[in-house]
Amino acid sequence: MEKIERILQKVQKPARYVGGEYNQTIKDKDKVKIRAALCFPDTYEIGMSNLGMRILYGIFNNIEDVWCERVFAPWPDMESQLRESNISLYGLESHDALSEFDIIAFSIGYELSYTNVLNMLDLAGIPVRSADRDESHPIVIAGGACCYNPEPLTDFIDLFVIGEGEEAAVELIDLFRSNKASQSKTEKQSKPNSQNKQIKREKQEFLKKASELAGIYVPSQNDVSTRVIQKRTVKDLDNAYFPTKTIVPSMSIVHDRAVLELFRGCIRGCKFCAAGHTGSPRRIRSPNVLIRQAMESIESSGYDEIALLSLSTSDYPYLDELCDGLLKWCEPKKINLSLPSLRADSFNVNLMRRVQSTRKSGLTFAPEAGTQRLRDYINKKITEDELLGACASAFAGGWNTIKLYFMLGLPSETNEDVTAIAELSHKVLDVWRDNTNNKKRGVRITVSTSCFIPKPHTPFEREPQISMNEYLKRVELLRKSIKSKQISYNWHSPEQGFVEAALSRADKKLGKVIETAWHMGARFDSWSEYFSLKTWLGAFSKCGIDPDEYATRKRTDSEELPWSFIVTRGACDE
Amino acid sequence: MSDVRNLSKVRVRYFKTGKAKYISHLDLQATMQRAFLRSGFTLKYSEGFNPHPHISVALPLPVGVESDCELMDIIIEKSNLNDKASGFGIDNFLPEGLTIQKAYQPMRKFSAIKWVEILCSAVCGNFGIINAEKIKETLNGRFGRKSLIIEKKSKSGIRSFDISGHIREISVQISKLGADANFAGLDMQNEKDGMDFVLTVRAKISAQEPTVNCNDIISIINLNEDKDCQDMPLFENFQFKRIEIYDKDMVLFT
Ligand code: SF4
Repeated sequence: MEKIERILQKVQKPARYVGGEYNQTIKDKDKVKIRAALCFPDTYEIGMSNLGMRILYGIFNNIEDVWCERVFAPWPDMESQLRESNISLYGLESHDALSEFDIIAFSIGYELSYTNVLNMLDLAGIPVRSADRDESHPIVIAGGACCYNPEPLTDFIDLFVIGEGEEAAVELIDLFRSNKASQSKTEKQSKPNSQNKQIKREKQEFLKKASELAGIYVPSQNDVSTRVIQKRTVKDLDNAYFPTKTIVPSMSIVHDRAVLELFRGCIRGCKFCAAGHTGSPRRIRSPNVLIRQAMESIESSGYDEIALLSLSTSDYPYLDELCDGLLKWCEPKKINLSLPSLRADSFNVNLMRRVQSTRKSGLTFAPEAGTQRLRDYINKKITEDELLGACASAFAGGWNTIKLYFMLGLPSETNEDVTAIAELSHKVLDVWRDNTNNKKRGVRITVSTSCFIPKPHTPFEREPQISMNEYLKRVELLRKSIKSKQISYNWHSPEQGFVEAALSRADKKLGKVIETAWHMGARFDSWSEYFSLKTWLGAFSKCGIDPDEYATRKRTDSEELPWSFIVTRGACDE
Repeated sequence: MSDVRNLSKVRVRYFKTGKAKYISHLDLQATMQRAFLRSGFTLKYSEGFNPHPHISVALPLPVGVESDCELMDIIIEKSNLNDKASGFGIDNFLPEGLTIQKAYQPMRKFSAIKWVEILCSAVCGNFGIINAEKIKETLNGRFGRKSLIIEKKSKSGIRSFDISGHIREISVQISKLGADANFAGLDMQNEKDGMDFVLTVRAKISAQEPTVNCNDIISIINLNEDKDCQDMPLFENFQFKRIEIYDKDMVLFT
C-alpha cells in the first residue's frame, strides 16, 4: 500500500485506484478458496457504470468461498507510474497483484478496448499470449458483447463465455472448485517429485472440462470446425440476480445513478444492430419486481436518480404501469427518473413530461437514415410523421434541444439519402416554429453522423464498410445541404470506425495485428485523444495484412465467416 | 454525542483519512449526501429548477490530504431514523476512511475559521551523511524569518508572496522511517537499503485570507536556491494531514 500511495500522489484522479467505496466486498483471503479478478478494459468511471460488471461482481461474491475484486485499465499517467515503480496491476479491494488471483475475467464490450486487455495483462506481469503462460499463471477468461466473435482474441484468452454470463459464471466456479479438489487428491496419492506435473494437469483439466459446458469456448480444446457453440441466455429475468445492493463510487462516474433493467433483447431487428440480433429473445422483467428493485437500490445506495435501462425502453409493454408505480414512490423523495433510449415513434409526451418534470434535458432520437426507403430497408421502422409528431409534442412541451443521430454509409445509400438527412432536420426546425410557445428562447437541433460499421451476426454482416474518403465525401455533401444556423452538424471521424470495422469482423490472424499495435503503443483506442490511425495502419502493414480485406470488402454468400460457429439465436426466437 | 435528530441545521465533525483522502472536494458532497440518504435522513432540498440538498463543507481539503478535523453543515428536513441507528448513526453507511466524530448545532459560521494546524511529513531523497540538527536549524531559521518570499502559482501566473506571519508555532523533527525515537542531533547515514529519513513539520497555517496551502510548505522546505544551508537535502513524497482548526484568537473552532 505504501508503494502505491507514493505513486498516487503523482496521478490524476487517484480515487480511481484505491477502492474502499461503500458496499465493496472485503473477504478474508486466507479463508476463501478462489480469488477472481473482474477486469474492465477501460477507466474506472466507465467500468463502474457497466451493469454487467456489477451483476458479475455480485454473483461471484455471493459464493462464500469466492472473493471477486475489480480491476480497471489505468490511465496512461498511472500506467507509467506503475511501470516506473515496478508495481503490478492490482485488485482494488485487496491491492494484491493480479498474478495472485486464480481467475482473471475480462468483460469486453467494444473492440477498441482490445489493446487495453493486453496492456492490463502485461501490467500484471502475465504473458499476453496463452501459449506463453504456464500453470503458475491465472486462468484468463473473457465475456461480453465482443465475444460473439472471439476469433481475434484467441491468442490471448484461455476461455470465452459466449452470451449472458451469470449462469455460466457459477458453473465455472463450481467446476474450478471440484477440479482443484480432485486434483489435490491425486496429488496426495502420487509421489512428491511429480508434483509439478500434477499441478500442470490442474489447469489443463479445468479447461478441458470447461470446454464441455454450454456456451463455453476454449480455443485450445474446442474444434470449431466440427462443433457449434450456442450462446447462453438467462430465461427468467424475474428470478435472475440483480444487484440492488451495489458499490456506490466515491467519485463521479459516467452513469452516476441507480439502474433498472427492464428487459433484455429487442423485438425491432434493425439490420445494422448487433445488440438487437445477439440479445434475442426479448425477456421481460415484471413491473412489480422492478418497483421492488428500485426501492431496494435507492435505499441501499442513496442515489437520487434511477434510470430505466434496456435497448429500446419504449417497447417495454408495461411502461405506463411501471412509471406510475415508480413516480408514486420517487416524487415525494425527490428521486428523478431518467428514461434513455426512447423511440420517437412511440413517444408518449405525457409520460415524458411527467418523468422529466424536474430535468428538461435534451431529447435524443435516432432515425439512423434520412429517407423512408432507406429506413425501411434497414428495418428502422419509424416514419417521418411519427418523428415529426414526436418533435411537435416535445417542442410544445417546452423542450428546445433535440439531437438526431444518423449513420452514413449504410448499404444501398445514395446521395439522395444523404441530402434527405438535411431535409428532415429542416422539417424538424419548421415543426419547432409551429409548435413552440417561446420563440425567443431559440432551438438547438444537433445532427450527428457516424460511419456505419457492419457487425457480425447481423443481416449486414457480409456488407462492406464505405471507405474513409467516401464517408468524408458524404459528410461534405450533408454539411453543404444544411442551410440553417439553428441546426448544427457533428460528424464522428471515420478513423476509429474503420479500425473497429476491421476488428469486429476479424479472424484469428488479426490477433497478431492487435498485439503489434499494442507493442507500438496503442492504448485506450476508444478515446479519440489516444487513438492513432497511424499506429494501427503501421501494425497492419508490419503483419502484412490489409485492413481493407476486413473493413471494406464485401463477403460473398459462400464465404465461411469466422464467427459462424457461434450461434446467437435464442431458443425461443420466432 | 448530543441528540441531533430534531435539529434542522447540523454541523458534523468527521475524519477523512486512509482511502477517503482521495475523495475530491467536489465528490465529497455527493458521497455524503448519499450516505445521509441511505442512513434514513431526509435532507432539505433547495428550491428551484434543479433542487439539491444543502450541504456545505468548510475549507476545501486537497485530494491526497488527510484530516482529523473536517467540518460540514447539513440541513435536515425531518428525521426518519430507523430503530437500528443510534445517535447520529451514519458511520455504517460511509465509505472506508470517513468517520463521524460528533454532530451538533453550530454556533459560529465557517468564515470565523482562521488557523489550521497541519502535520507535514516528507522523505529525504538524497543518500549520504545527513546532519539532522543542521536541517532542523535551517528549517527553523527559514520559518522564523521576518520576511519569507515564495512563489505562488495561480491561474493568472506566478506571483511572489510573503508568507511570514501566516505560519505559526512551527516544530521540526527528523527521524528514521519507522523509528519512534527522534534521532535529531546525530549524523546519520542515509542508506540505500530503503531506510529513509523522515522530516516532520507541525505548524499552524493561515486557512483563509490569505490561504497558505500545502505547496507553499513544500516550497519553503525545498527552497533550493537558498544559500542558508549548503547541504540541505531534497525532500520528496510529502504527506499532509490536518489536525485541528482554530479561530483568529487561536481558540478551537467548533
Ligand atoms: S437499434 Fe435499437 S430498436 Fe433497433 S434492434 Fe437495435 S436495440 Fe432494437
